[in-house]
Amino acid sequence: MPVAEGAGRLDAFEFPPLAENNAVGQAGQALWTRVNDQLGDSVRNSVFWTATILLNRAQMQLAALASLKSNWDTYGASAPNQVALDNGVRLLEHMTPIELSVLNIVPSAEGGVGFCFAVGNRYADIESSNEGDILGVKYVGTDMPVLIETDGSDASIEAALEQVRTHISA
Amino acid sequence: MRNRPDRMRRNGRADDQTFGAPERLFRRYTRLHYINGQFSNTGFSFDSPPSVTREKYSEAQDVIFSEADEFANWGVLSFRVADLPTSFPPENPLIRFFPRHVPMEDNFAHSEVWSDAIPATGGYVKPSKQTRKLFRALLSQRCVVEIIATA
Repeated sequence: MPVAEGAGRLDAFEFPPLAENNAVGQAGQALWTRVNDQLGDSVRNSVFWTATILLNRAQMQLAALASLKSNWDTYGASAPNQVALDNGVRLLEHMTPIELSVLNIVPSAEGGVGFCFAVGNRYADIESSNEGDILGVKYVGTDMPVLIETDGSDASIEAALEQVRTHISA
Repeated sequence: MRNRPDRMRRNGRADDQTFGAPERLFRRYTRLHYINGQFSNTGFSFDSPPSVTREKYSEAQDVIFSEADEFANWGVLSFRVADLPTSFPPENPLIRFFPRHVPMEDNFAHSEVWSDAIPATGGYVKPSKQTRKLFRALLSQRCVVEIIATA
């Protein structure tokens, strides 16, 4: 998926560069380095900024799927439509940094968007379909998969994500 | 322009509905759906009988063959006929899955994964969204990468 270089990364913040012909020379460069490092530390150590950047990255990945064309999988799959993308935005709004930090957003071959989580031998996903359904699955290794169902309401989306959170954190 | 291998051409051959349990069924995949060493079921669709290419009459690389080389960076995965459950889901069997040889003139090995109700209707029965989701997940657990995708 085409996503802007560096966008949404925790280390993508940088203090504005110092002009090469600045009046204070080496001292200015040293100050710039120190302030820039402090800015980086502040961002990395901030729960707020971490969550904001992870959400921003996920939103950009989701937005990139809007440009997919039908037959993107070479087997005739539909591109994600606006219904799937809008429900995808709702899903992202309910996610915490725990899910966002291991989230992969992919197109679904059945038409829609897949929000996938794979940690070790644990896997879970929630699909937002072009028909408006939101349905997921979870499993460990080769154990029988278990459905994660929703009725599309905010409460059921929150409950589904809680299942994902518990599953991938176990 | 690349030359299509002769084994891929039908050349008047009749279809062959005999599948052995160990026979592999090949399918293209993109790197997007291979996440931390696991193939995501979101890369499979059973909205209609999905196309596969059967091992008996092909090789894995045939799945990414095209004269124009349009599948050059795609990968190939496989699952076995034995991986298709004959009664599913296990606790309340409603559907059975099975391969069907659907040869094409330029791809004799072309096949599809069909599903029928239990008891059988003799035709194609589309599983419910929930059953499809469980089956896609089950198959993703069992599939094996034959050729690694680079795109």
